[in-house]
Amino acid sequence: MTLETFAFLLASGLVLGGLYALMASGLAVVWTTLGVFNFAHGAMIALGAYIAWQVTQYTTGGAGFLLGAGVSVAIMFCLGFAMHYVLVKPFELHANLVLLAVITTLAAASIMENAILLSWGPRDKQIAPPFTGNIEFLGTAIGIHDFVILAIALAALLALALFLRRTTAGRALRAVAQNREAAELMGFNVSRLVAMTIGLSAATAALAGVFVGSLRFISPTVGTDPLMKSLIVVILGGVTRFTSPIYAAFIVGLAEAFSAYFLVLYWAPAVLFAMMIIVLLIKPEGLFGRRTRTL
Amino acid sequence: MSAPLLELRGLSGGYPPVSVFRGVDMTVGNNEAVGLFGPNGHGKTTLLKTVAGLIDPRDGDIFFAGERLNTEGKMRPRTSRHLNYDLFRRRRISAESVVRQGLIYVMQGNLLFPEMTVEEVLDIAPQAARGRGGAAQMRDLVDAVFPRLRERWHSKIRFLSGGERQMVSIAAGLLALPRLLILDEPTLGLSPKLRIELCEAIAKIRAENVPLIVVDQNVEFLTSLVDRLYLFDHGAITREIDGSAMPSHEEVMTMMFGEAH
Amino acid sequence: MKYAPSFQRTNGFWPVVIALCIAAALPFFFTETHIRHILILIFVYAILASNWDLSLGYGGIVNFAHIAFFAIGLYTYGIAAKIIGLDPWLALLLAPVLAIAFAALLAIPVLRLEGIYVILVTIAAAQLLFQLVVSQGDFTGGTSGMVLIPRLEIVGYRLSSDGRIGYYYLSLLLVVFSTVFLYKLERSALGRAIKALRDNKYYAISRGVSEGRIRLLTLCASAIFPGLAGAFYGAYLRIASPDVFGLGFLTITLSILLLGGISTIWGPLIAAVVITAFAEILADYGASRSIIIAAMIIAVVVVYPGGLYAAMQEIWGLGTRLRTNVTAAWRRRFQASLRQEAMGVKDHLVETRHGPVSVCDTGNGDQTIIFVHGNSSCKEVFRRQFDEFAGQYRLVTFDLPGHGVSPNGNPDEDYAVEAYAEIIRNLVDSLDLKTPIVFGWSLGGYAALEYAARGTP
Repeated sequence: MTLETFAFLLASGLVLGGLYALMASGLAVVWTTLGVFNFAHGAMIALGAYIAWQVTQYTTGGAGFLLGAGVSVAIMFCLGFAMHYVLVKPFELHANLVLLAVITTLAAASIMENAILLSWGPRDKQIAPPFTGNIEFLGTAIGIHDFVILAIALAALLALALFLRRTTAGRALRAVAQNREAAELMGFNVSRLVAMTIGLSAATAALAGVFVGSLRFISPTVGTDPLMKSLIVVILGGVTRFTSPIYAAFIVGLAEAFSAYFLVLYWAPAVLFAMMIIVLLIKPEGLFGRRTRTL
Repeated sequence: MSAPLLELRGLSGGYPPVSVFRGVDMTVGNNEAVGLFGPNGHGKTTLLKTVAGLIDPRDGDIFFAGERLNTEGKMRPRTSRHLNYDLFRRRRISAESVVRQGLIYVMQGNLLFPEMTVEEVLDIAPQAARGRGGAAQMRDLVDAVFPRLRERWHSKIRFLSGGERQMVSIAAGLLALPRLLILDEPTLGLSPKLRIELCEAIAKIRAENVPLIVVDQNVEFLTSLVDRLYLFDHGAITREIDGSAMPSHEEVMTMMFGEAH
Repeated sequence: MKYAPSFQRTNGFWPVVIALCIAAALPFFFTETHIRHILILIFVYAILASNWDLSLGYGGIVNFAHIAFFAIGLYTYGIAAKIIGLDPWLALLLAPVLAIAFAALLAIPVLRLEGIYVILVTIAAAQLLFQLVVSQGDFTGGTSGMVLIPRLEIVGYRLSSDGRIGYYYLSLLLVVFSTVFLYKLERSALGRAIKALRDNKYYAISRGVSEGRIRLLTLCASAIFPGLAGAFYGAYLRIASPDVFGLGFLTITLSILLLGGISTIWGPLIAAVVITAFAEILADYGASRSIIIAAMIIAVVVVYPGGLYAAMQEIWGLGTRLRTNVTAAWRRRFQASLRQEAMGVKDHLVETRHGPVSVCDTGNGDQTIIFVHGNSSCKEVFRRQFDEFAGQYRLVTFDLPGHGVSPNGNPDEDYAVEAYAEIIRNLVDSLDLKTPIVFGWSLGGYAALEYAARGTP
């Protein structure tokens, strides 16, 4: 393997890692707060991408891209906020919460995917990457767009982490995730905070969707593959801390990029899933996690 | 005498369909400390959780500072086992509004937020008291009563001992500017040394004229602290003892379980 | 040891017989192959969902690789019959064997994990299998799947050229076998162990239930019929496509299970009929069909998480309550004289905290005796005591809620010894009985003891 190939694989692995980190952190935030796995996350990624695509149809270029991302993130935040009241809150106290939430989020995913199909049709679309041109990196040309995506993804994650650690509102969210009853006794509106958490998760999904949409073609089911990848990431990393899925995301991104080069293309995902099962067997709490779930 | 600070009228409740306590009448006057004593597992905590708004009361009313905290009427019995009542039933009481009113319940054996530091917990605690004055004095009081917390300021809660956790719990309750503070078994499971330290701290808080409801298994501590004592047994208040004639441990035991306990 | 009554003596016997007769007769009314195809699909879904319930509902193991059992059956049949060239019937029998083997493999990680991790590892296992199927294009046809899989023949008779009648009865037979299997299993010692492990794991283990063995058996047992159904599906449609691994197929099956009601055998069967038929009615709406069905699923889960079968039972219960209430009211209204003849006094309703109860009260005398009757009895059992003591004491007796001619009570509150004691207390207050002697028979004895324990004079 030449240095150029290595650099190319490294760069693409890092971009993938950034994307996966964005998606997985969204999944992990909901999981730690509610103990619920959100199967609609993939559909949220798709919906976010389509909303941004619609905006870029009116405004083009870099401004259109950023505006599209902004609009998409805002709409998806509201949708995620509302989703809590429809899909989770009604049976919050039910013994079968986890199972019921699985079916409601699966149904919500089906609704979103088919709504996309109805509104935008089955034809593949692509969000025009606004930043063209390449830069030299260890001898290969890497698209500026890739770097922009990686930078925005990292910035968004940093912003989210700072929000959760440093602001009172973010600390309140973490309080709800760690001990719901105690949070209620502190006078917090727990339902609204949980809804906000799902909103934040949907917003990160939208952002990831915009990036996926500018790297690949988007179709109504574009979110399924990223959903599965985020699942691997979340398991590998564990969810006990906000940062643990992020490391895992880069490991998975790099592993995917390199294994696609070294192995037959079809085998790469199988390797990842096998890896995930082995990690679950040996260290169920994840590579970087602890057993308790907290935010 | 002016209206009592807290008044429970015929309060019944529990976890449907199980009724845990029935027809509880209880008052706490302004500037009064009231004790609640009774065997474990007879519904004291469930009663206090209901007052704090975590559980809907089945019947009866809770008045705090002259205002009704719960909605009127009684909880309708369920006729279907599977219908999702949470969807149709309005909460009769919400912890959020109770806490906003200044009725602060400090839970028994509270684990709080294991991954947050003392500083973070005490930072979010005053949220409930937004818009009310007196936060600065309360911070001074907390510093004076619990000097230990300053030493553990940046430790995560899960690294604290049980007693330190209880201190953080009470401190967080104080920072919410309580008009009435409910302490549920604050000394449960603590080492004797910490227990003494905590009892002294609670006495200091009482000295600042914070109205209290205290549940504890130690009669001597309770009687030295409170103005009135309620005995609680089998989900109901069985006796009310006035401050002038505080009984000894033995006397309380006899009242509760008869001569042959 | 036998605790449950045999099936012939349960309430469910006749409905099942009738449903079976209808199912056996259906193909003669629906001669269109399309409708027969839908019916076969219903049976396949019913098998998948009801067997999933074994692990998910009864076992409490949220196994998201359940559909993979079906897929393994499908591909085993396809590969064995088409590529290896095995006899189709042998291939059909090989399918569940491989499905069980996969279930046993799956049990290894599942046993070590709990809660949401079980969901995740089973999803991962199913995905791993999917990736393997897709990557082995030479055997499995890759993403486009396998076509022209051999069909089944019975001594030269081709099952595919008869308007699907043969396949219809074969699938019906599968459903019947699967249901009998589940019914027997649920009532066996193994079934009880499975449920015990779900409800209170540590207690069950301390009573000698082996967690590992039972979990393993649960997963393997839940794989048998999905594996068979998968092979049947391959023989029937003659294609095998990796779509069966998709979220869509899983969503439909899981909806059938949850809408039918978990931890019931009949619920998923009923829901399979309802949902598949409903989807067929909406067949012309394309993408909006999926939206309507998904919205309906959310609505049902949110409003009535118990599911269809629980709803049917509750409606049945409501009917019974209404019927008994009407009978009691009718007897109060028109048969009062009959009872007066027996007891010597007329009964009347007295309001208590637990609803009105019917009371007989002789009304005179200083010392009162209250008679409390036993379970499933009524106040008239005390007619001889009333004859005997009428002159010496004031005699009072009453029908407990839901007994005799008293109206039904609220099941959550009124049918308990504490409630009965409270009723006695209410009667003592409202009839001014002072310090009565309370005589209790059987259940009434418990009520009398509880009344005494409350320390009321």
